[in-house]
Amino acid sequence: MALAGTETIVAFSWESRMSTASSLPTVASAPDASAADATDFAAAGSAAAASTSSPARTRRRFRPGGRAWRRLISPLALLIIWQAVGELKLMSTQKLPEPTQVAHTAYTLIATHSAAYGTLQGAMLASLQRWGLGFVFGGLVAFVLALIAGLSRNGEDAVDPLMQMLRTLPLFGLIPVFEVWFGIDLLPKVLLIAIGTAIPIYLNTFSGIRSVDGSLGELARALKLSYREKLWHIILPGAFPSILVGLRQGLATGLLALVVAEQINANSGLGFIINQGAQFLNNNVIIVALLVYTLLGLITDWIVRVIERRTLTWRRGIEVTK
Amino acid sequence: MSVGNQANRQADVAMAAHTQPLDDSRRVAHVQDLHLRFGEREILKGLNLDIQAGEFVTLIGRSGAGKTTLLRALMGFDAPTSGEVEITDKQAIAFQDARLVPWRSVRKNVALGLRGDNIQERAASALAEVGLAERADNWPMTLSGGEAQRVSLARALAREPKILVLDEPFGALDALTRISMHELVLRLWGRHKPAVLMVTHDIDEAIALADRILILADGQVSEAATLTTERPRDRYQPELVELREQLLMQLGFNAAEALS
Repeated sequence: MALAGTETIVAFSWESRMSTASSLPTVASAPDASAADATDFAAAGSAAAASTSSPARTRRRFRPGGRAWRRLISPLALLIIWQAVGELKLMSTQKLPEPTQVAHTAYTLIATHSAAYGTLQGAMLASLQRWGLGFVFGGLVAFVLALIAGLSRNGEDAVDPLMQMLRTLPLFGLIPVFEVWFGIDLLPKVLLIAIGTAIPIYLNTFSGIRSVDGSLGELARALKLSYREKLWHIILPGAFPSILVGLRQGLATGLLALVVAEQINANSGLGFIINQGAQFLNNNVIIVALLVYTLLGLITDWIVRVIERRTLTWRRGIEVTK
Repeated sequence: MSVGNQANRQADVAMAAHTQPLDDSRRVAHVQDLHLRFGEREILKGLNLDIQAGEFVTLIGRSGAGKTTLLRALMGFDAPTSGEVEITDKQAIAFQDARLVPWRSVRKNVALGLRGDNIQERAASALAEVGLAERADNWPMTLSGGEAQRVSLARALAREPKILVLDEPFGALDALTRISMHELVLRLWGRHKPAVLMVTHDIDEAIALADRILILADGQVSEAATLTTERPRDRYQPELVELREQLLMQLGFNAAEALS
């Protein structure tokens, strides 16, 4: 009876974990990104008119009372309501520990090494390693394949059908097969993350290359550019905005794959902490691990956005910083 | 040829029925019996064209006459269905849409594809010639339409072409900017003396600039006017006004019909 109960809870928490993990990074990042883009473009007009450089613009964005700060209000409000729900005993803190409790659990997980969970930072490093390996491997392969497919019709005919097949393959349906093929250690996890990363990077890079303005290809001919010059000055910079979109999506899908992959025989990493938390019916720990996933997603997304801001200044018409 | 009368000859404006046979050694472009077909549509039907070193040629024609098609064949973008196209390899083109590479600075746009020594200096001096030295480090998107066209001209001139092909380069500019661009083009042409082949649908522009005016109609270069009037030209000069009428008529525009 008790066992059956545990199973239900485990199943329930698995499901909630899945939906939280998949929705959180996207919900948290995507609207934010488009809003930031809108701000950028709004700022672009005045920046171009006044011919200001990027530091001035950044200052304007983050000045007190500016949009960047205003956007913090609703998440803070959510946090306060969440805390109030716990304080007012509207929900059992067993099911929904309040933020202060979660923070305390996080602190304990960081400060003390426990036999059940290890440490949070240790788990995070293990997860980061898997994610990083999968991302670099999948990203590089996808980029090279996208170049092959994007730059030649023969390449497209050879590569694209395979990638389209891979794209429609249910990624997580591969897990049992991967366990048979590659065991239950690092390899199947990294491969799963690599595939998850590769597909958006491939698709975006490929379409980015193909959607480079054809009239610029004509210009390259008129200027008698060599193939290398055309690649370097026209094609790759032209595809770069799409490549960055692919990078962001690839990181997000890779993170999703990480969360699922880590459930395979995990003995370390955030997935392990979640499994343990589920076993011990400790929701605090699960929430902490989920928050760390989210944090990782947000941080990497932020990094890509900084790259975007730094490298795509030509779109906003700011002076070239030498 | 009705225009070849006394009055016009006195005004140094003459029209010829065919393009003149040209001296081979000074020729920078040569097109003979060029046919170009896209599917069922034959755009160019046995077109002949010769351009000599240093002359300013404008090519006018109704829209859809095949002006751009001819330029594309001349630049080697489209292969002719049949016929002969020869052009010096020292060629440069300025497109109607300026066509700057948006993610390269103005300076790099001008330097793009330059060969040889002192590329940066050559790019800088070409930019200075069009009066945009101080915009060298800007992004193309910050330029106005006229400025972008000037950069495009600088980019073409930096290649020190023997023939400069201009594909309706000022079509998208306002009237005032266009006039100052005409002065700029004439100044640059006077200094560097490339042959210029400029396509335009603006008859006044053709009259203001050209040594020779060609008309492209029915897939052939059908008529030519030769102008030796000093530049800058007064477009209200009676001979030029009459030439304008003649050209309009040859393009198939009849004022009386249009007004009735």
